[in-house]
Amino acid sequence: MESILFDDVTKVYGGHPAARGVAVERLSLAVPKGEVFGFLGPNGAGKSTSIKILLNLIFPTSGRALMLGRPVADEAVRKWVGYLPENPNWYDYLTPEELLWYGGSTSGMSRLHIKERAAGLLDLVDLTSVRRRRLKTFSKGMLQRAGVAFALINDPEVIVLDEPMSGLDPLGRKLMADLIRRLKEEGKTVFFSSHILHDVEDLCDRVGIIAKGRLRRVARLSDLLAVRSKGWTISVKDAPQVLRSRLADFEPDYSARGSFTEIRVPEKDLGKVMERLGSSQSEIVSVTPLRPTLEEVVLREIQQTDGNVG
Amino acid sequence: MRNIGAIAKITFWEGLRSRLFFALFVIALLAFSGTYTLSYLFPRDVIKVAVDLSLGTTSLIGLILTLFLGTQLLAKDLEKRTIHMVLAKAVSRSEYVLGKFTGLSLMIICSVVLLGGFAALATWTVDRLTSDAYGVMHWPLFVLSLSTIMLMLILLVSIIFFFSSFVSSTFLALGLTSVVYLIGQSVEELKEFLTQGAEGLAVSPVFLKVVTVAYYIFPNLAALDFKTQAAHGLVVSPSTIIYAVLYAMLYTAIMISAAAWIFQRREFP
Repeated sequence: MESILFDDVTKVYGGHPAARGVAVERLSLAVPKGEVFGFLGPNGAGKSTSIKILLNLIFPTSGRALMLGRPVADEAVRKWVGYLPENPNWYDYLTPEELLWYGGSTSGMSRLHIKERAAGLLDLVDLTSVRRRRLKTFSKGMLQRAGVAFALINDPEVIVLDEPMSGLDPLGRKLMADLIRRLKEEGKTVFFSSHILHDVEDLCDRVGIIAKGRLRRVARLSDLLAVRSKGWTISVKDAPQVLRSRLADFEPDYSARGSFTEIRVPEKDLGKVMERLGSSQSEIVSVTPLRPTLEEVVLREIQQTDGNVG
Repeated sequence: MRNIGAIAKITFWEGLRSRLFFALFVIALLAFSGTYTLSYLFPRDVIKVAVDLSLGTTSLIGLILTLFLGTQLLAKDLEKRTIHMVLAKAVSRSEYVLGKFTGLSLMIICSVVLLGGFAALATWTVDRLTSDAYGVMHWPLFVLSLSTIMLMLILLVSIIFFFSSFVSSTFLALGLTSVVYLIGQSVEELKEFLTQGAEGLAVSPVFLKVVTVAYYIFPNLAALDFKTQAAHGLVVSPSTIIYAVLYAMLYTAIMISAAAWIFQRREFP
């Protein structure tokens, strides 16, 4: 059974034909249990709309969405779901402890269970010392951490995070990344959206690329990045000037990195360049494939599918 | 029930800690402390004026509290999208509406009990320091009036909920509820004037029809106002009290059910 299933979901906004806009178009996607799925795309691509459909905050115009095998309109399913919105807005005068009490109570947890779990979570997100302070005094990072604790209070099977890294400082991003890894280790399903692609590279099992409301591609991250290596980077313990004369007929790109020089060569020249460097006794430190960045891959996918449609 | 209780509790906490709540109580205390002095400006009717003033202050402060805190606590949920967090848990839309309404009603009950307590203290002080020749205090009517003020404020909360269920602006919900309050206070009097007391005046049948329709649509808040009876010691029949209580409860139930019905179908983008 899939943890999350979008079955041919379309969402159209605006009743008047002139004001109509398709936010999500025929989205079909299944996320199995235990997977960390990254939902990628530029701003306005339809990521948040899809997430709000999952949370039953908005309703699909056609198609259906299921979580843990049950329709999302069944609120009982959210006993096993955790959600963190992009900009969590809380009740200003509540404290993190009270917030977690609410989250646990509406998930059917006992008072004692809530107390125990809240203590552990507040410790995890480093808010124990401010657990009785009102949320209105919190910084954005602290509110985000309170949101994480709120999303996890019911020990959910599925965690939905909308742009979890957005607006966080490097420390906050690390905390979030560590948390996603930890949830994966615990066998939870994590579905998160992001437009900051660098943040998702090490976290996702699979990614889905969405743009202009249409799902363009779903693939394992490694498959996506492995396609069409752009060439190779060879690190050599020689100065660029020395190498330039040795590799003059190949005209590769050079860049100095401290006592090393990085040479970027196209796929077809790798063998010959290695041979030349070997014969000239250059000390080769490493040879790594020059992969396209996730940004480049996503952009290419969007452009390609736009072209196909057009 | 548990979800309704949880939402009611956080709504109550949130309301109780707001600055507006404390600010209004400070103003109320100042107003009540002025009751003694102001009452003696009318030496023939000291007790009547004291009751009028203290109940009027309770009603006014309660009204401001209900309108502002009510719209703030509900419409802000929608404006700031805090509702996303509340509904992200296993809570139905109806439970949200009922929980929020229960929390706000609890706030109103506590406020009226507190304000009423101050009002009673202020009036009691005037009563103790004044001879019976200046008027007699009617405590049962005083309590009746406070209770119906409370019912009226809870009814207004249900109207705020009704408007907030389909408008997304705090100010619009506040404005519409204020208009309903003003119409509700005067529609009965206007209808009576047009049907009975307007002899010799040429009243358009269309206007009379409009007023009659308004009388049945808008809440008749005058039916919940017993301040004059409390001040003058006028007899109120049990049937009048029962009618007022049942009317307020039924109107409130209809408004809340309509709000819950609309919320079920509403999207929160």
